[in-house]
Amino acid sequence: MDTVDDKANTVLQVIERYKNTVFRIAFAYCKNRSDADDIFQEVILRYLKARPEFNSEEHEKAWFVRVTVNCCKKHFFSSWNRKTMPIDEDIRFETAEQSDLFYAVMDLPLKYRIVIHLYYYEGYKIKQIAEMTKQKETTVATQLQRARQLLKTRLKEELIYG
Amino acid sequence: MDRDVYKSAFDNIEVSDKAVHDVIQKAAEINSQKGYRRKRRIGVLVPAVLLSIMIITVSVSAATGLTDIFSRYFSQLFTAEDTGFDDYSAEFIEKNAAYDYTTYSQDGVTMSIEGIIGDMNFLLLKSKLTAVDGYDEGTLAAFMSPKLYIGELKQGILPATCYRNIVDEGNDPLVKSAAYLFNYDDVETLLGRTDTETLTGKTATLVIKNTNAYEPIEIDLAEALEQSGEISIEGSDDLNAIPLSKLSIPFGNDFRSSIVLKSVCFVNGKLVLVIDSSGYYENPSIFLRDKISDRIIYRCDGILSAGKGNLEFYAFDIGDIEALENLEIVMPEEHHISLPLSVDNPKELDISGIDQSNIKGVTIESIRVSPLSLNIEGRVQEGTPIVAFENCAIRFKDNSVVKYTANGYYHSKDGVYSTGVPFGKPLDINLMDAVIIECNQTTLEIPIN
Repeated sequence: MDTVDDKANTVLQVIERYKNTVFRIAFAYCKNRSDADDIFQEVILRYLKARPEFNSEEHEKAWFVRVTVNCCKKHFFSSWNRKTMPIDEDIRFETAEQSDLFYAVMDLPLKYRIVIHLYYYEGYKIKQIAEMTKQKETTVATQLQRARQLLKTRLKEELIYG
Repeated sequence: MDRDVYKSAFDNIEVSDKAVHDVIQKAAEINSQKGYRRKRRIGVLVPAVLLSIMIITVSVSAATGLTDIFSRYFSQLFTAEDTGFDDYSAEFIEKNAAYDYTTYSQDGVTMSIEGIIGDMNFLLLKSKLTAVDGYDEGTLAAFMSPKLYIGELKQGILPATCYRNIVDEGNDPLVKSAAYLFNYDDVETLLGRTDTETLTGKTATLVIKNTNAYEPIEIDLAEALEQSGEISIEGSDDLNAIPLSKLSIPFGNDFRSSIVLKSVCFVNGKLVLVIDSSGYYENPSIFLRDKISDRIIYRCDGILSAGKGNLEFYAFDIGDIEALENLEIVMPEEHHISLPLSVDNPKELDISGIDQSNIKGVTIESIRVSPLSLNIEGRVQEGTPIVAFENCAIRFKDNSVVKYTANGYYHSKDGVYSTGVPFGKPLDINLMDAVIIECNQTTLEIPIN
């Protein structure tokens, strides 16, 4: 039988496993730690409240990503957060390439940031991102293409003028 | 764009330990109030409650580590509480139960429902477990955390509180008693506002799910595949491309008859079951088991399982179609106990002679008391900042006074409000003398009999 400690450990492991996935998606949305912290907390509280059962680890991760995206949308579209937020300055990068790319992504419009993050960081396919963000596959594909184009332009500018 | 560069850039973004610590603290604090109704609050109540939580949080966080907080939190969730429920409460339920004794046996464990009482806010159920040859611990754990389903709702309620070994059973390790307090608030968004009318006549089903044990579903997979027309798709992972057959095989009788196998096919080494489920099951837990090794095969698709309409696709990586012969569909073992849901009519108190002139902006229209809780309803004039019945008390006939805390309230746009005050354990209304409530710095005393 799973003891209380076993169950606590299991849930602790789940949080450990997804805490940064959740936080990074939230950060990609909000561009600052404070709001990302709030979203992280909301997602974890939802998990602890619902304690959903998952059929596989993949299913489990998809649940966290989906709920995070939903929480981000809710957070972002509340009137309080419609204002433009500055990028959190307290981030250290090992290389200039990482830094340039990070800030170029952060400079993208909101709808592109999340698609780019799920595609490039989490490795999801277009179909999966469409399901998670409740958009058509063609919409996601277009967003991805435009985001790539914007990044390409901006990184090129960075290279020339930076 | 180079995916590795992107990943390494975002690897620098990590959640702080403090944020993780804080969320667990917050969960623990919220959970400690879980037995209470969580109605929509407005205005200044929210900051007041948050402030009180923050004060507790700050004082606890300095002295307690994350592991301790987790243990405490999960102790509240997964284990029983030994306090707050006494012999008197157990006896009260047995005497006043709206529903009588029933037993249910499974795998050498008999669960006896010894009494249920309910009102518009809560359902309290007392039971006794008896094992013939000792307890399989997985089964015992399952019996200790049943879910309550109401009517055809797909969403069940976990007990807000579970009291274990509430009565001395003569130290017999094979006999365990338990009481479960369910709070309808968890499904109120689906049920609408719960009241005598909305609950009476509905069936309550106690579902005890043992996730440590599986039971086979009597479906011949090879035959089902053949009936489906041996559909085999190569070179595509698009499960939506699966043509649907005319197959329609229910997973069993009773509850599981609402899970229907609609198609079986083989896609790139993956066995895909197309499932239509309704009723109590929403995305049911379905697995495959190797009949020879007893190995459980979990579904591998996760996200790709979205399906079409009501249909859900369950893909299992079994490698070779030949392996199908030794596979069977299994689901976690479940025990279902159906009970007619009964709501005791709460006692409506006579408030006609109560002077309400001092509680400005507020009109109390109804006060009802049941063995489990007190309900206050009325209207608030537009512009009234807040209506809080933070301090409520019951004066008993022996002149003792016990205070209870209102747990928040519902306040609709048209000014109708409702607040619930839970008692925590059942009380005999016949022993009560008066309800004392404080509202807008005015104390009102309403006789009960």
